[in-house]
Amino acid sequence: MRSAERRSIGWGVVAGSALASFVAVSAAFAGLTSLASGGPQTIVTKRIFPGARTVPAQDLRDASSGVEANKSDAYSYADASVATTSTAIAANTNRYLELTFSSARAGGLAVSSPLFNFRLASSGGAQAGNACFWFDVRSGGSVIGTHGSYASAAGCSTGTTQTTVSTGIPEVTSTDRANGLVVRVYPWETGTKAKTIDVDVATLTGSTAYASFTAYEIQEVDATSGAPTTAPWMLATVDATSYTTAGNWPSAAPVLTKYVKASSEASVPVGAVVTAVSLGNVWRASAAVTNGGTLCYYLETFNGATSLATHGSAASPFACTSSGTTFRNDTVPLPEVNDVTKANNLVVRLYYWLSPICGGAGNPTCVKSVTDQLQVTYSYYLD
Amino acid sequence: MRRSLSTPGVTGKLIASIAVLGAAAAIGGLGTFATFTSSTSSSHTIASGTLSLTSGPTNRLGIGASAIAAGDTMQRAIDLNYAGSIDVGSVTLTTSASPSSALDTDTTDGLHLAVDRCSVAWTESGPPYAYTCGGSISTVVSARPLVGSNMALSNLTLTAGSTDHLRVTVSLPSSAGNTLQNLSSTVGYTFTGVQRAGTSR
Repeated sequence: MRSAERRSIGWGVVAGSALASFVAVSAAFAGLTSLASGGPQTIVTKRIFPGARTVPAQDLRDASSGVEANKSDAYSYADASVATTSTAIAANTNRYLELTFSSARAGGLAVSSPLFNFRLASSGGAQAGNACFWFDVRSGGSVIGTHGSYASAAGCSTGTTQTTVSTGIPEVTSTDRANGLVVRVYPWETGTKAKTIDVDVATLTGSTAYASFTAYEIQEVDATSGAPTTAPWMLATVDATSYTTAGNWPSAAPVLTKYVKASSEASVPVGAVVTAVSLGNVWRASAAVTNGGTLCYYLETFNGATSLATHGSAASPFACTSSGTTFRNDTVPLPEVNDVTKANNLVVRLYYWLSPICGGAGNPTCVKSVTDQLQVTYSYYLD
Repeated sequence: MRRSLSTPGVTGKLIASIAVLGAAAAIGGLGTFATFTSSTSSSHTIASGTLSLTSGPTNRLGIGASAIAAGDTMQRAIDLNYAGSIDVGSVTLTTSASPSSALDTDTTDGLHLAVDRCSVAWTESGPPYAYTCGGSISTVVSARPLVGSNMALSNLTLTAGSTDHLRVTVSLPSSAGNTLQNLSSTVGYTFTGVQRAGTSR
């Protein structure tokens, strides 16, 4: 019993000493403190950061003859213009059409209800059948989704009747994926003797929190022959493909019924603040303009059908060239396009003419225009 | 059985003996001084000081910002007053975010903070607030991610009764990408002052 008491006293001494040491050390580190505070401070970023987004002209009308002819991208609109596969194609060949879509949308936005819309039909003929397809979706060089197969088509049309098949592609979760999306379509014709296939539409549609969108293709690769052939949309990029007008341009002065008219997909979100818009026109004469002449143009902008402004005039062309080989690269600021409505309904007409005159002995040659790239750049943000 | 000196019984006796001797000596001593000395008495008052860190009259840190974009900056001024009677030895700043987002968790492309001090009161314009200094500017916190604990503040006056005029600059780096669009963070700032080291008084 006594021994136990002594042990308790001993441990009490140890514990007391430890506590005393702790108090002493704490006192050394303590001292007076005082706090002052600021905030709370809430910081919110814009819904869409400022940036420039470029959209190629997709709807192209050639009125060089005085009458508009539709020269729009065959894949972009449901109309009489179709793209026909280079080769008749049967099932199980693994041959494809590969379509790359524009990058017109602001990045970093969630996409809802994304669809790949494909409108196709058999080109028809003896022993023709139906047109069917399956496809995969690629982003950043990787396959991110597969829809259908040769055994289970994503869709088919009957005979030569064009049919639109819209397939959900939920793997396209953001505009980062939608921009520059690649869709590889594996089409086939079911006839006892396989035929080519006419494709009328290949588009990507969807919505962000701020706008619905339709993205058009800017490049097609036709590998239905087994040898891939790349065909960029001729106005989308500066490359070997270009558009040459059907007719020569008028002499001495522009004619208001003779023009090239272009518009592009509506891409600016509702509520955005449009800070700058410009047109890029990469062009030249179809042949050297001889005898001191030049091919000139000015342009007019429209909000739908309502004229907004002109840039240059008959008396003062925006630009001229005599070269039939070297492209001019013109940037035309369009300050009149200063809101979302005008941006999304923008139509541009370019009036070309030969100055001072063309045709006839000793005069400059009358020429056409060649357009390598026609695109609009929209700078905007959304608070 | 042989017992060693380390056993409790022996140790207890030794401690008790020493205690008795000590007490006797103390009593003896007291008796000696009581007998042969006289004394005068004096007294002094020891009063402790106060340490008080306050903000104001300028304190714009509660004012947020909306619709900011990459490359944007926001400036907010705050006065730190050393209102107590004791000098402050150091001041640290702790910031936290609630609600939080990638704006404050992305330490590379997210919000950054810097603090400057003006030797006189900042001249304010705006909103949006901007500040110019009629005196000299010194760096208090170099640019760094917004949220942090116990950030050391440099070049402060710290003297009791004085005020430091600070400008807090919050910026979203130009490198901020689209993933930082449409986000919101609410940030709180706490300045902690610690008294100067003890001295001989």
